Amino acid sequence: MKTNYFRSMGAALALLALVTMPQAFAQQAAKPSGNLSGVWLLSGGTGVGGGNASLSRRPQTQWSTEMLPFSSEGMKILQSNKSGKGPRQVVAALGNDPIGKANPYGLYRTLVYGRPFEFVQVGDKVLQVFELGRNWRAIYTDGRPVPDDVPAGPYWYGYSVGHWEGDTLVVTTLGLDERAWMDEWGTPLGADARYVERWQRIAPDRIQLTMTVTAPSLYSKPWTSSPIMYTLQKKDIEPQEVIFAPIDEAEFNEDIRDPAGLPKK
Amino acid sequence: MKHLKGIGLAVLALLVSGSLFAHHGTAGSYDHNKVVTVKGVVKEFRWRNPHSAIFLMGKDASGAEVTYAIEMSAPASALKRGYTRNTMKPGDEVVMQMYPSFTNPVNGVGVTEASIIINGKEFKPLGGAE
Repeated sequence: MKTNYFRSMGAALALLALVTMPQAFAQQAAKPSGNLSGVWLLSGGTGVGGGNASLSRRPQTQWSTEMLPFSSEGMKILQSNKSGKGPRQVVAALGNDPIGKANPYGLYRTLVYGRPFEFVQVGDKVLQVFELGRNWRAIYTDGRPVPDDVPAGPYWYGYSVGHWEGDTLVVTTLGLDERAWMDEWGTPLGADARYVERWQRIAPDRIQLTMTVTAPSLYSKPWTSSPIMYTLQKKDIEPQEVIFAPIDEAEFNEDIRDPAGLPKK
Repeated sequence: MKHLKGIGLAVLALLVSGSLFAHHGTAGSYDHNKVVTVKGVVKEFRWRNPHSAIFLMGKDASGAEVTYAIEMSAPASALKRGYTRNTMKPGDEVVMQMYPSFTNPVNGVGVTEASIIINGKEFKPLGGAE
């Protein structure tokens, strides 16, 4: 018997959504005009998950082929993030990558990490269920306004409100926990940042994400990402549990990462 | 011949820098310009996130007994390459390729595209640090 973690989790979340759905917003919800349903994987990776080679040749951030318009303060924050990957890479054991101690990946790093996720469309909500971290986010499409602030946050996976423009799901996300990184290379998030994502199904087996980032604490002006492509996976795919638990991460660091990267004691 | 094929694939992997997808990054820790073939007996095959690992009892270049600690794919990736937690067990004889650590030669990361020989049988590449 096949077990499908994504589908069972999606169903549970869908039930939760129906139970907790505010009626005022439900009445305003528009019928979805697009369909993103399915399990998707970052295009151009290794094909087994865990690869993001298609983004590896970018100069500064995995999100763009261009240099970002960092302010001087933003550049200081970027330089303070020490990743074991990318153009500024350091020895992993000497870095300060938050995931090195099994902290959450956060939303945007997850989207470029190269592990599959599933879009589940349920009524007035779109769920994105991630293999990485066995986690999810809800995108509210019930007509609620985008708030100016998320006082209950910040959240590792942000707070997202969406609407449909034809076949494109437009999502505004804010309230992100700036301790997470935006990608594998240490691009900062910005506590004041507002991200506008555009998810478009450009072919039966392909979706494209582009994103506009506004973060005055980091950038001199808004910038728009290069297109990020995802490929539809076969229906019988069974995504796995990819949880980097602190107990495992500590063991890995002690037995593998640190001996490989630090001088012999 | 199969062994030579594996080494050939290792060289190919070197050219494409194939094992750079570890969640922590490997390029600063391992010498991707050097491929080392290691032989030994499995002490432990660790099937666990964030990466599987092979601990292999063998000998170094001087003939001294050592335990190699080799970083491999995360289980979710290894599974798609045909591996399970039962593919290797303590006592199995293994021949494989790794990129060695810059600082400790018994540490390494598996060469992404190189096959692994387990008890004389060739297995698909287990992957590097995906």
